Amino acid sequence: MWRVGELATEGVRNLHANLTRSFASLLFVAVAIGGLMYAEQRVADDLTRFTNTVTADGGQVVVVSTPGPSLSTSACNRIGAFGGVVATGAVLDRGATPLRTAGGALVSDTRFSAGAVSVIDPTYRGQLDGGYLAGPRAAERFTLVPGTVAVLGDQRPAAVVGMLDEGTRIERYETALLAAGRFEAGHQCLIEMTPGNLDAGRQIAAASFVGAEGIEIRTLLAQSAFERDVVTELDARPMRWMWLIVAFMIAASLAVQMFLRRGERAVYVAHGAGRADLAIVEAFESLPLILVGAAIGITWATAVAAITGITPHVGFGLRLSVAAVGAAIAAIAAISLMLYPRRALADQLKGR
Amino acid sequence: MSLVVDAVAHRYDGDFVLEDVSLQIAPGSTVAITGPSGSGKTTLLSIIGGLLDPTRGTVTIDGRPVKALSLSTTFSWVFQTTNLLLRRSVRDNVALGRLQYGDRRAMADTAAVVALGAVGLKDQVDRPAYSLSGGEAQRVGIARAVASGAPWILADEPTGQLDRRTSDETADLLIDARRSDQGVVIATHDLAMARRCDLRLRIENGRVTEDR
Repeated sequence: MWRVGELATEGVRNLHANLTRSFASLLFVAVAIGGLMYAEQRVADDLTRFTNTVTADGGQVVVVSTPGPSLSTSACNRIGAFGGVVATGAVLDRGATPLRTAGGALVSDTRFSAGAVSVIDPTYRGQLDGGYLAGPRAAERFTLVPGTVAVLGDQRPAAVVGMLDEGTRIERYETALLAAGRFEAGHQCLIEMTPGNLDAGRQIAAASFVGAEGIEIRTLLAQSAFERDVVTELDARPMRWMWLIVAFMIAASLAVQMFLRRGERAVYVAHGAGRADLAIVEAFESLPLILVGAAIGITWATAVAAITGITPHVGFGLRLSVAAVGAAIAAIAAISLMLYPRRALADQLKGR
Repeated sequence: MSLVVDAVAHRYDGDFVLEDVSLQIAPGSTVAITGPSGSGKTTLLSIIGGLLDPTRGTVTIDGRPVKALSLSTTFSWVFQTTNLLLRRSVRDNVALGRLQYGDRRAMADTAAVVALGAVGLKDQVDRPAYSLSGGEAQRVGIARAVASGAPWILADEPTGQLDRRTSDETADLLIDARRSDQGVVIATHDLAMARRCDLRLRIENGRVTEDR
Protein backbone atom coordinates (compact mmCIF):
# COMPACT_ATOMS: atom_id res chain seq x y z
CA MET A 1 0.00 0.00 0.00
CA TRP A 2 1.66 3.17 -1.21
CA ARG A 3 1.58 6.29 0.91
CA VAL A 4 -0.22 9.13 -0.84
CA GLY A 5 2.64 11.48 -0.07
CA GLU A 6 5.12 9.15 -1.75
CA LEU A 7 2.90 8.81 -4.81
CA ALA A 8 2.82 12.60 -5.02
CA THR A 9 6.59 12.69 -4.68
CA GLU A 10 6.88 10.16 -7.50
CA GLY A 11 4.81 12.43 -9.73
CA VAL A 12 6.87 15.49 -8.91
CA ARG A 13 10.15 13.60 -9.34
CA ASN A 14 9.01 12.30 -12.72
CA LEU A 15 8.29 15.89 -13.64
CA HIS A 16 11.78 16.95 -12.64
CA ALA A 17 13.39 13.92 -14.21
CA ASN A 18 12.62 15.01 -17.75
CA LEU A 19 12.94 18.75 -17.81
CA THR A 20 12.82 18.99 -21.59
CA ARG A 21 9.48 17.24 -21.76
CA SER A 22 8.13 19.17 -18.80
CA PHE A 23 9.28 22.48 -20.24
CA ALA A 24 7.75 21.67 -23.63
CA SER A 25 4.43 20.80 -21.98
CA LEU A 26 4.58 23.92 -19.85
CA LEU A 27 5.27 26.04 -22.92
CA PHE A 28 2.40 24.43 -24.80
CA VAL A 29 -0.07 25.12 -22.01
CA ALA A 30 1.25 28.66 -21.52
CA VAL A 31 1.03 29.51 -25.21
CA ALA A 32 -2.41 27.97 -25.63
CA ILE A 33 -3.97 29.54 -22.55
CA GLY A 34 -2.04 32.79 -22.92
CA GLY A 35 -2.90 33.17 -26.58
CA LEU A 36 -6.57 32.71 -25.92
CA MET A 37 -6.42 34.95 -22.89
CA TYR A 38 -4.85 37.70 -25.01
CA ALA A 39 -7.45 37.28 -27.73
CA GLU A 40 -10.21 37.41 -25.12
CA GLN A 41 -8.77 40.57 -23.65
CA ARG A 42 -8.71 42.20 -27.07
CA VAL A 43 -12.36 41.37 -27.58
CA ALA A 44 -13.29 42.39 -24.05
CA ASP A 45 -11.42 45.65 -24.44
CA ASP A 46 -13.06 46.42 -27.74
CA LEU A 47 -16.55 45.67 -26.47
CA THR A 48 -15.97 47.51 -23.21
CA ARG A 49 -14.63 50.57 -24.98
CA PHE A 50 -17.60 50.51 -27.28
CA THR A 51 -20.05 50.09 -24.42
CA ASN A 52 -18.38 52.83 -22.44
CA THR A 53 -18.48 55.15 -25.43
CA VAL A 54 -22.14 54.48 -25.98
CA THR A 55 -23.17 54.86 -22.37
CA ALA A 56 -20.85 57.65 -21.33
CA ASP A 57 -20.39 59.73 -24.44
CA GLY A 58 -23.10 58.66 -26.79
CA GLY A 59 -26.03 60.79 -27.76
CA GLN A 60 -28.89 59.69 -25.56
CA VAL A 61 -32.34 59.95 -26.95
CA VAL A 62 -35.75 59.34 -25.51
CA VAL A 63 -38.24 58.37 -28.18
CA VAL A 64 -41.90 58.94 -27.51
CA SER A 65 -44.06 57.38 -30.17
CA THR A 66 -47.70 56.78 -30.93
CA PRO A 67 -49.36 54.66 -33.61
CA GLY A 68 -50.69 57.70 -35.43
CA PRO A 69 -49.45 61.26 -35.91
CA SER A 70 -51.06 62.43 -32.70
CA LEU A 71 -48.15 63.80 -30.68
CA SER A 72 -48.22 67.53 -30.26
CA THR A 73 -45.07 69.06 -31.73
CA SER A 74 -45.42 72.11 -29.52
CA ALA A 75 -45.50 69.89 -26.44
CA CYS A 76 -42.46 68.16 -27.81
CA ASN A 77 -40.65 71.46 -28.35
CA ARG A 78 -41.50 72.67 -24.85
CA ILE A 79 -39.52 69.78 -23.41
CA GLY A 80 -36.42 71.55 -24.70
CA ALA A 81 -36.71 73.95 -21.78
CA PHE A 82 -36.05 71.23 -19.19
CA GLY A 83 -32.64 70.82 -17.66
CA GLY A 84 -30.53 68.08 -19.19
CA VAL A 85 -32.30 68.31 -22.51
CA VAL A 86 -30.05 69.09 -25.46
CA ALA A 87 -32.64 69.24 -28.19
CA THR A 88 -36.06 68.01 -29.12
CA GLY A 89 -37.76 67.36 -32.38
CA ALA A 90 -40.92 65.77 -33.62
CA VAL A 91 -41.00 63.67 -36.75
CA LEU A 92 -43.52 62.10 -39.01
CA ASP A 93 -42.83 58.58 -40.12
CA ARG A 94 -42.42 59.68 -43.67
CA GLY A 95 -40.08 62.42 -42.71
CA ALA A 96 -37.88 60.52 -40.34
CA THR A 97 -34.23 60.16 -41.04
CA PRO A 98 -33.91 56.62 -42.38
CA LEU A 99 -31.48 54.95 -40.07
CA ARG A 100 -30.60 51.40 -40.82
CA THR A 101 -31.53 49.89 -37.51
CA ALA A 102 -33.23 52.63 -35.56
CA GLY A 103 -35.73 54.23 -37.78
CA GLY A 104 -36.77 57.65 -36.65
CA ALA A 105 -33.91 58.24 -34.25
CA LEU A 106 -32.68 61.75 -33.87
CA VAL A 107 -29.14 60.58 -34.04
CA SER A 108 -27.91 60.14 -37.56
CA ASP A 109 -24.74 58.45 -38.73
CA THR A 110 -24.73 60.36 -41.97
CA ARG A 111 -21.20 61.12 -43.00
CA PHE A 112 -19.87 63.23 -45.78
CA SER A 113 -19.60 61.49 -49.04
CA ALA A 114 -20.06 62.61 -52.58
CA GLY A 115 -23.75 63.01 -53.31
CA ALA A 116 -24.89 62.37 -49.74
CA VAL A 117 -26.04 65.89 -49.19
CA SER A 118 -27.15 68.30 -51.82
CA VAL A 119 -27.80 71.95 -51.14
CA ILE A 120 -30.40 73.40 -53.37
CA ASP A 121 -31.49 76.91 -54.08
CA PRO A 122 -32.64 78.73 -50.91
CA THR A 123 -35.48 80.16 -52.96
CA TYR A 124 -36.97 76.70 -53.37
CA ARG A 125 -40.68 76.88 -52.72
CA GLY A 126 -41.70 73.28 -53.24
CA GLN A 127 -43.00 70.91 -50.59
CA LEU A 128 -40.66 70.52 -47.62
CA ASP A 129 -40.52 67.52 -45.29
CA GLY A 130 -39.67 68.38 -41.73
CA GLY A 131 -36.29 69.97 -41.30
CA TYR A 132 -32.68 69.42 -40.39
CA LEU A 133 -30.44 70.33 -37.53
CA ALA A 134 -26.93 70.69 -38.91
CA GLY A 135 -23.72 69.92 -37.15
CA PRO A 136 -21.07 72.66 -37.33
CA ARG A 137 -18.76 70.81 -39.67
CA ALA A 138 -21.65 69.72 -41.83
CA ALA A 139 -22.79 73.31 -42.00
CA GLU A 140 -19.32 74.50 -42.89
CA ARG A 141 -18.80 71.81 -45.50
CA PHE A 142 -22.08 72.44 -47.27
CA THR A 143 -22.51 76.11 -46.41
CA LEU A 144 -25.67 75.39 -44.50
CA VAL A 145 -27.44 78.11 -42.58
CA PRO A 146 -30.94 78.10 -41.12
CA GLY A 147 -33.31 78.27 -44.02
CA THR A 148 -31.09 76.43 -46.48
CA VAL A 149 -33.03 73.74 -48.26
CA ALA A 150 -31.06 70.51 -48.47
CA VAL A 151 -31.61 66.99 -49.71
CA LEU A 152 -30.19 64.14 -47.69
CA GLY A 153 -29.59 61.12 -49.88
CA ASP A 154 -32.73 60.24 -51.77
CA GLN A 155 -35.11 61.93 -49.37
CA ARG A 156 -37.35 64.78 -50.20
CA PRO A 157 -36.03 68.33 -49.71
CA ALA A 158 -36.10 69.79 -46.21
CA ALA A 159 -34.96 73.06 -44.70
CA VAL A 160 -32.21 73.47 -42.18
CA VAL A 161 -34.09 74.65 -39.13
CA GLY A 162 -31.22 75.02 -36.69
CA MET A 163 -27.63 74.35 -35.86
CA LEU A 164 -26.48 71.68 -33.44
CA ASP A 165 -24.80 72.98 -30.35
CA GLU A 166 -21.30 71.59 -30.59
CA GLY A 167 -20.59 71.99 -26.92
CA THR A 168 -23.36 69.72 -25.76
CA ARG A 169 -22.89 66.90 -28.22
CA ILE A 170 -20.15 64.49 -28.86
CA GLU A 171 -17.76 65.17 -31.64
CA ARG A 172 -19.22 62.85 -34.22
CA TYR A 173 -22.43 64.83 -34.37
CA GLU A 174 -20.49 67.71 -35.83
CA THR A 175 -20.70 65.99 -39.17
CA ALA A 176 -24.33 64.99 -38.96
CA LEU A 177 -27.59 66.27 -40.18
CA LEU A 178 -30.31 65.46 -37.70
CA ALA A 179 -33.89 65.24 -38.68
CA ALA A 180 -36.35 67.59 -37.00
CA GLY A 181 -39.97 68.27 -37.62
CA ARG A 182 -41.98 71.39 -38.33
CA PHE A 183 -45.52 70.24 -38.21
CA GLU A 184 -48.39 70.30 -35.74
CA ALA A 185 -48.47 66.66 -34.82
CA GLY A 186 -46.09 63.84 -35.37
CA HIS A 187 -45.59 60.16 -34.82
CA GLN A 188 -42.62 60.62 -32.61
CA CYS A 189 -41.06 63.14 -30.28
CA LEU A 190 -37.30 62.72 -30.02
CA ILE A 191 -35.69 64.14 -26.92
CA GLU A 192 -31.90 64.23 -26.86
CA MET A 193 -30.53 64.27 -23.35
CA THR A 194 -27.10 65.07 -22.05
CA PRO A 195 -25.13 61.91 -21.31
CA GLY A 196 -26.30 60.10 -18.20
CA ASN A 197 -29.73 61.73 -18.11
CA LEU A 198 -31.76 59.17 -19.96
CA ASP A 199 -33.89 58.31 -16.94
CA ALA A 200 -34.72 61.95 -16.35
CA GLY A 201 -35.64 62.19 -20.03
CA ARG A 202 -38.04 59.29 -19.70
CA GLN A 203 -39.74 60.91 -16.75
CA ILE A 204 -40.03 64.25 -18.54
CA ALA A 205 -41.44 62.52 -21.60
CA ALA A 206 -43.99 60.58 -19.57
CA ALA A 207 -45.10 63.73 -17.75
CA SER A 208 -45.32 65.75 -20.95
CA PHE A 209 -47.57 63.38 -22.83
CA VAL A 210 -49.89 62.19 -20.10
CA GLY A 211 -53.03 60.80 -21.68
CA ALA A 212 -51.68 60.42 -25.20
CA GLU A 213 -53.20 57.35 -26.80
CA GLY A 214 -51.01 54.35 -27.38
CA ILE A 215 -47.94 56.16 -26.16
CA GLU A 216 -44.71 54.23 -26.01
CA ILE A 217 -41.54 55.54 -24.49
CA ARG A 218 -38.19 53.95 -25.24
CA THR A 219 -34.61 55.03 -25.20
CA LEU A 220 -31.95 55.02 -27.83
CA LEU A 221 -28.33 55.45 -27.05
CA ALA A 222 -26.56 56.09 -30.28
CA GLN A 223 -26.67 54.95 -33.82
CA SER A 224 -23.67 52.74 -33.23
CA ALA A 225 -25.54 50.96 -30.48
CA PHE A 226 -27.74 49.53 -33.19
CA GLU A 227 -24.88 48.61 -35.45
CA ARG A 228 -23.16 46.41 -32.89
CA ASP A 229 -24.78 44.00 -30.53
CA VAL A 230 -22.37 43.42 -27.67
CA VAL A 231 -24.07 40.31 -26.35
CA THR A 232 -24.26 38.71 -29.78
CA GLU A 233 -20.67 39.57 -30.53
CA LEU A 234 -19.59 38.11 -27.24
CA ASP A 235 -21.53 34.92 -27.86
CA ALA A 236 -20.31 34.60 -31.43
CA ARG A 237 -16.60 35.10 -30.80
CA PRO A 238 -14.56 32.15 -32.06
CA MET A 239 -12.54 31.94 -28.85
CA ARG A 240 -15.62 30.65 -27.10
CA TRP A 241 -15.10 27.27 -28.72
CA MET A 242 -11.35 27.55 -28.74
CA TRP A 243 -11.32 27.25 -24.95
CA LEU A 244 -12.94 23.87 -25.26
CA ILE A 245 -10.53 22.87 -27.99
CA VAL A 246 -7.55 24.07 -25.95
CA ALA A 247 -8.76 22.12 -22.91
CA PHE A 248 -9.07 19.06 -25.13
CA MET A 249 -5.63 19.63 -26.68
CA ILE A 250 -3.96 19.99 -23.28
CA ALA A 251 -5.64 16.83 -22.04
CA ALA A 252 -4.81 15.03 -25.28
CA SER A 253 -1.15 16.03 -25.25
CA LEU A 254 -0.74 14.82 -21.69
CA ALA A 255 -2.72 11.68 -22.46
CA VAL A 256 -0.41 10.92 -25.40
CA GLN A 257 2.56 11.27 -23.07
CA MET A 258 0.84 8.92 -20.65
CA PHE A 259 0.26 6.43 -23.42
CA LEU A 260 3.82 6.66 -24.71
CA ARG A 261 5.07 6.09 -21.18
CA ARG A 262 2.74 3.20 -20.47
CA GLY A 263 5.78 1.03 -19.78
CA GLU A 264 6.69 3.32 -16.88
CA ARG A 265 3.13 3.11 -15.64
CA ALA A 266 3.40 -0.67 -15.83
CA VAL A 267 6.49 -0.50 -13.62
CA TYR A 268 4.42 1.26 -10.99
CA VAL A 269 1.65 -1.27 -11.34
CA ALA A 270 4.18 -4.07 -11.01
CA HIS A 271 5.13 -2.41 -7.74
CA GLY A 272 1.68 -2.44 -6.29
CA ALA A 273 0.26 0.83 -7.60
CA GLY A 274 -3.49 0.57 -8.09
CA ARG A 275 -5.66 2.61 -10.41
CA ALA A 276 -6.11 5.40 -7.89
CA ASP A 277 -2.41 5.33 -7.01
CA LEU A 278 -1.46 5.82 -10.64
CA ALA A 279 -3.99 8.63 -10.93
CA ILE A 280 -2.28 10.38 -8.03
CA VAL A 281 1.13 10.02 -9.66
CA GLU A 282 -0.30 11.35 -12.92
CA ALA A 283 -2.04 14.18 -11.12
CA PHE A 284 1.19 15.36 -9.59
CA GLU A 285 2.87 15.12 -12.96
CA SER A 286 0.12 16.93 -14.85
CA LEU A 287 -1.32 19.45 -12.42
CA PRO A 288 1.83 21.54 -11.99
CA LEU A 289 2.25 21.70 -15.76
CA ILE A 290 -1.32 22.78 -16.32
CA LEU A 291 -1.57 25.19 -13.41
CA VAL A 292 1.86 26.79 -13.77
CA GLY A 293 1.52 26.86 -17.56
CA ALA A 294 -1.85 28.55 -17.29
CA ALA A 295 -0.52 31.04 -14.75
CA ILE A 296 2.41 31.90 -17.02
CA GLY A 297 0.09 32.20 -20.01
CA ILE A 298 -2.35 34.45 -18.19
CA THR A 299 0.49 36.61 -16.89
CA TRP A 300 2.15 37.16 -20.24
CA ALA A 301 -1.16 37.69 -21.98
CA THR A 302 -2.06 40.39 -19.48
CA ALA A 303 1.39 41.95 -19.75
CA VAL A 304 1.31 41.96 -23.55
CA ALA A 305 -2.19 43.40 -23.45
CA ALA A 306 -1.03 46.22 -21.21
CA ILE A 307 2.02 46.88 -23.39
CA THR A 308 -0.07 47.00 -26.55
CA GLY A 309 -2.51 49.47 -25.03
CA ILE A 310 -5.29 47.03 -24.25
CA THR A 311 -6.94 47.58 -20.91
CA PRO A 312 -6.50 44.23 -19.15
CA HIS A 313 -9.78 42.45 -18.48
CA VAL A 314 -8.31 39.71 -16.35
CA GLY A 315 -11.47 38.47 -14.68
CA PHE A 316 -13.18 37.65 -17.95
CA GLY A 317 -10.38 35.51 -19.36
CA LEU A 318 -9.50 34.16 -15.95
CA ARG A 319 -12.91 32.59 -15.50
CA LEU A 320 -12.61 30.93 -18.89
CA SER A 321 -9.04 29.85 -18.17
CA VAL A 322 -10.14 28.26 -14.94
CA ALA A 323 -12.95 26.49 -16.75
CA ALA A 324 -10.58 25.23 -19.47
CA VAL A 325 -7.99 24.13 -16.95
CA GLY A 326 -10.68 22.39 -14.91
CA ALA A 327 -11.94 20.59 -17.99
CA ALA A 328 -8.40 19.54 -18.91
CA ILE A 329 -7.73 18.24 -15.41
CA ALA A 330 -11.00 16.33 -15.33
CA ALA A 331 -10.20 14.81 -18.71
CA ILE A 332 -6.69 13.86 -17.59
CA ALA A 333 -8.06 12.24 -14.45
CA ALA A 334 -10.56 10.24 -16.50
CA ILE A 335 -7.93 9.23 -19.06
CA SER A 336 -5.51 8.27 -16.31
CA LEU A 337 -8.08 5.99 -14.75
CA MET A 338 -8.94 4.46 -18.12
CA LEU A 339 -5.32 3.78 -19.12
CA TYR A 340 -4.63 1.54 -16.14
CA PRO A 341 -2.36 -1.08 -17.66
CA ARG A 342 -2.99 -4.19 -15.57
CA ARG A 343 -4.53 -6.28 -18.31
CA ALA A 344 -1.45 -6.09 -20.52
CA LEU A 345 1.04 -5.76 -17.72
CA ALA A 346 3.22 -8.71 -18.68
CA ASP A 347 3.37 -7.64 -22.30
CA GLN A 348 4.10 -4.05 -21.39
CA LEU A 349 6.84 -4.99 -18.98
CA LYS A 350 8.41 -7.40 -21.42
CA GLY A 351 8.06 -5.05 -24.35
CA ARG A 352 9.95 -2.15 -22.85
CA MET B 1 5.57 -20.29 1.56
CA SER B 2 5.64 -23.27 -0.74
CA LEU B 3 4.65 -22.55 -4.32
CA VAL B 4 2.53 -25.25 -5.96
CA VAL B 5 1.60 -25.42 -9.63
CA ASP B 6 -1.12 -28.01 -10.06
CA ALA B 7 -2.19 -29.42 -13.43
CA VAL B 8 -1.82 -26.10 -15.19
CA ALA B 9 -2.64 -25.91 -18.88
CA HIS B 10 -2.74 -22.89 -21.14
CA ARG B 11 -3.98 -22.45 -24.64
CA TYR B 12 -3.02 -19.77 -27.18
CA ASP B 13 -5.10 -19.48 -30.33
CA GLY B 14 -6.57 -22.93 -29.85
CA ASP B 15 -3.22 -24.71 -29.28
CA PHE B 16 -2.02 -25.78 -25.87
CA VAL B 17 1.40 -24.29 -25.06
CA LEU B 18 1.33 -25.82 -21.60
CA GLU B 19 -0.30 -29.11 -20.74
CA ASP B 20 -0.78 -30.58 -17.31
CA VAL B 21 2.16 -28.85 -15.66
CA SER B 22 2.58 -29.62 -11.99
CA LEU B 23 5.46 -28.73 -9.74
CA GLN B 24 6.23 -27.72 -6.20
CA ILE B 25 8.90 -25.23 -5.25
CA ALA B 26 10.16 -24.91 -1.72
CA PRO B 27 10.58 -21.45 -0.21
CA GLY B 28 14.04 -19.95 -0.63
CA SER B 29 15.03 -22.29 -3.42
CA THR B 30 16.20 -21.43 -6.91
CA VAL B 31 14.51 -22.95 -9.92
CA ALA B 32 15.54 -22.67 -13.56
CA ILE B 33 13.02 -23.22 -16.33
CA THR B 34 14.73 -23.92 -19.63
CA GLY B 35 13.53 -24.88 -23.05
CA PRO B 36 13.54 -23.72 -26.68
CA SER B 37 12.15 -20.35 -27.71
CA GLY B 38 8.37 -20.37 -27.75
CA SER B 39 8.21 -23.45 -25.55
CA GLY B 40 6.11 -21.65 -22.93
CA LYS B 41 8.73 -20.60 -20.35
CA THR B 42 7.44 -17.04 -20.10
CA THR B 43 3.85 -18.25 -20.15
CA LEU B 44 4.50 -20.50 -17.17
CA LEU B 45 6.31 -17.71 -15.35
CA SER B 46 3.42 -15.30 -16.03
CA ILE B 47 0.91 -17.84 -14.74
CA ILE B 48 2.99 -18.39 -11.61
CA GLY B 49 3.22 -14.64 -11.07
CA GLY B 50 -0.51 -14.14 -11.54
CA LEU B 51 -0.14 -11.99 -14.66
CA LEU B 52 -1.85 -14.59 -16.80
CA ASP B 53 -4.80 -16.82 -15.94
CA PRO B 54 -4.27 -20.47 -16.89
CA THR B 55 -6.83 -22.17 -19.07
CA ARG B 56 -6.90 -24.96 -16.51
CA GLY B 57 -5.26 -25.74 -13.21
CA THR B 58 -4.23 -23.66 -10.23
CA VAL B 59 -1.22 -21.96 -8.73
CA THR B 60 -1.17 -21.68 -4.95
CA ILE B 61 1.19 -20.41 -2.32
CA ASP B 62 0.73 -22.02 1.04
CA GLY B 63 -2.61 -23.26 -0.20
CA ARG B 64 -3.92 -19.86 -1.28
CA PRO B 65 -4.50 -19.13 -4.96
CA VAL B 66 -2.04 -16.51 -6.22
CA LYS B 67 -4.92 -14.39 -7.51
CA ALA B 68 -6.05 -13.98 -3.93
CA LEU B 69 -2.65 -12.64 -2.90
CA SER B 70 -1.15 -9.22 -3.39
CA LEU B 71 0.84 -9.96 -6.52
CA SER B 72 3.21 -7.06 -6.19
CA THR B 73 4.23 -7.94 -2.67
CA THR B 74 4.39 -11.68 -3.31
CA PHE B 75 6.41 -11.55 -6.51
CA SER B 76 9.13 -9.31 -7.72
CA TRP B 77 10.03 -9.44 -11.40
CA VAL B 78 13.31 -9.21 -13.24
CA PHE B 79 12.96 -9.02 -17.00
CA GLN B 80 15.31 -9.37 -19.92
CA THR B 81 14.79 -5.73 -20.71
CA THR B 82 15.10 -4.08 -17.36
CA ASN B 83 12.00 -2.23 -16.33
CA LEU B 84 13.45 0.90 -14.93
CA LEU B 85 12.12 4.43 -14.85
CA LEU B 86 14.86 5.58 -17.19
CA ARG B 87 14.84 9.25 -16.24
CA ARG B 88 14.95 8.55 -12.54
CA SER B 89 17.98 7.82 -10.44
CA VAL B 90 19.20 4.34 -9.66
CA ARG B 91 18.23 4.83 -6.02
CA ASP B 92 14.70 5.96 -6.92
CA ASN B 93 14.23 2.86 -9.05
CA VAL B 94 15.31 0.49 -6.33
CA ALA B 95 13.29 2.36 -3.70
CA LEU B 96 10.11 1.47 -5.61
CA GLY B 97 10.54 -2.04 -4.25
CA ARG B 98 10.02 -0.71 -0.73
CA LEU B 99 7.64 2.18 -1.31
CA GLN B 100 4.96 -0.28 -2.38
CA TYR B 101 4.87 -1.58 1.18
CA GLY B 102 4.08 1.88 2.52
CA ASP B 103 7.64 2.63 3.59
CA ARG B 104 8.54 6.27 3.94
CA ARG B 105 10.97 7.65 1.39
CA ALA B 106 13.90 7.81 3.79
CA MET B 107 13.50 4.17 4.78
CA ALA B 108 13.04 3.07 1.18
CA ASP B 109 16.12 5.01 0.13
CA THR B 110 18.17 3.40 2.87
CA ALA B 111 17.03 -0.07 1.84
CA ALA B 112 17.80 0.83 -1.78
CA VAL B 113 21.35 1.90 -0.96
CA VAL B 114 21.95 -1.33 0.98
CA ALA B 115 20.63 -3.42 -1.91
CA LEU B 116 22.67 -1.46 -4.42
CA GLY B 117 25.73 -2.03 -2.29
CA ALA B 118 25.09 -5.74 -2.51
CA VAL B 119 25.13 -5.61 -6.32
CA GLY B 120 28.20 -3.36 -6.43
CA LEU B 121 26.46 -0.14 -7.35
CA LYS B 122 26.70 1.75 -4.10
CA ASP B 123 28.60 4.57 -5.79
CA GLN B 124 26.08 4.88 -8.60
CA VAL B 125 22.95 5.65 -6.61
CA ASP B 126 22.43 9.11 -8.10
CA ARG B 127 23.05 8.15 -11.72
CA PRO B 128 20.04 8.36 -14.01
CA ALA B 129 18.95 4.90 -15.08
CA TYR B 130 19.23 5.73 -18.79
CA SER B 131 23.00 6.11 -18.43
CA LEU B 132 23.52 2.55 -17.17
CA SER B 133 24.98 -0.23 -19.27
CA GLY B 134 22.83 -3.34 -19.85
CA GLY B 135 24.62 -5.23 -17.11
CA GLU B 136 24.36 -2.37 -14.64
CA ALA B 137 20.67 -1.93 -15.38
CA GLN B 138 20.09 -5.63 -14.81
CA ARG B 139 21.88 -5.37 -11.47
CA VAL B 140 19.63 -2.47 -10.52
CA GLY B 141 16.61 -4.60 -11.41
CA ILE B 142 17.91 -7.40 -9.22
CA ALA B 143 18.67 -4.99 -6.40
CA ARG B 144 15.11 -3.75 -6.61
CA ALA B 145 13.74 -7.29 -6.49
CA VAL B 146 15.94 -8.14 -3.52
CA ALA B 147 15.17 -4.85 -1.73
CA SER B 148 11.46 -5.44 -2.14
CA GLY B 149 11.71 -8.45 0.15
CA ALA B 150 9.04 -10.21 -1.91
CA PRO B 151 9.16 -13.93 -1.07
CA TRP B 152 9.44 -14.86 -4.75
CA ILE B 153 11.61 -13.35 -7.45
CA LEU B 154 10.51 -14.26 -10.96
CA ALA B 155 13.18 -13.63 -13.60
CA ASP B 156 12.40 -13.86 -17.30
CA GLU B 157 15.53 -14.23 -19.41
CA PRO B 158 17.47 -11.94 -17.08
CA THR B 159 20.74 -12.50 -18.94
CA GLY B 160 19.33 -12.57 -22.45
CA GLN B 161 21.08 -9.42 -23.58
CA LEU B 162 24.23 -9.64 -21.53
CA ASP B 163 27.70 -10.87 -22.35
CA ARG B 164 29.08 -13.97 -20.66
CA ARG B 165 30.90 -12.22 -17.86
CA THR B 166 27.95 -9.98 -17.00
CA SER B 167 25.61 -12.96 -17.24
CA ASP B 168 27.65 -14.80 -14.66
CA GLU B 169 27.62 -11.79 -12.35
CA THR B 170 23.87 -11.48 -12.75
CA ALA B 171 23.40 -15.17 -12.02
CA ASP B 172 25.49 -14.76 -8.89
CA LEU B 173 23.30 -11.95 -7.68
CA LEU B 174 20.03 -13.74 -8.36
CA ILE B 175 21.15 -16.95 -6.74
CA ASP B 176 22.45 -14.95 -3.78
CA ALA B 177 18.88 -13.82 -3.17
CA ARG B 178 18.46 -17.11 -1.35
CA ARG B 179 20.37 -15.55 1.49
CA SER B 180 17.41 -13.32 2.18
CA ASP B 181 15.09 -16.35 1.99
CA GLN B 182 13.66 -15.28 -1.33
CA GLY B 183 12.73 -18.02 -3.74
CA VAL B 184 13.89 -17.42 -7.31
CA VAL B 185 12.28 -18.81 -10.46
CA ILE B 186 14.26 -18.08 -13.60
CA ALA B 187 13.14 -18.69 -17.17
CA THR B 188 16.34 -18.83 -19.18
CA HIS B 189 18.25 -20.17 -22.14
CA ASP B 190 21.43 -19.80 -20.17
CA LEU B 191 22.39 -23.34 -19.22
CA ALA B 192 25.34 -22.19 -17.14
CA MET B 193 22.98 -20.18 -14.99
CA ALA B 194 20.46 -23.03 -14.89
CA ARG B 195 23.09 -25.43 -13.64
CA ARG B 196 23.64 -23.29 -10.57
CA CYS B 197 19.99 -23.51 -9.50
CA ASP B 198 18.63 -25.98 -6.98
CA LEU B 199 16.06 -27.33 -9.42
CA ARG B 200 16.12 -27.35 -13.22
CA LEU B 201 12.94 -27.83 -15.20
CA ARG B 202 12.72 -28.19 -18.96
CA ILE B 203 9.66 -27.37 -21.01
CA GLU B 204 9.24 -29.06 -24.31
CA ASN B 205 6.05 -29.58 -26.31
CA GLY B 206 4.09 -28.03 -23.47
CA ARG B 207 5.23 -30.49 -20.88
CA VAL B 208 7.65 -30.00 -18.04
CA THR B 209 10.33 -32.47 -17.14
CA GLU B 210 12.93 -32.27 -14.45
CA ASP B 211 16.32 -31.72 -16.01
CA ARG B 212 18.93 -33.47 -13.97
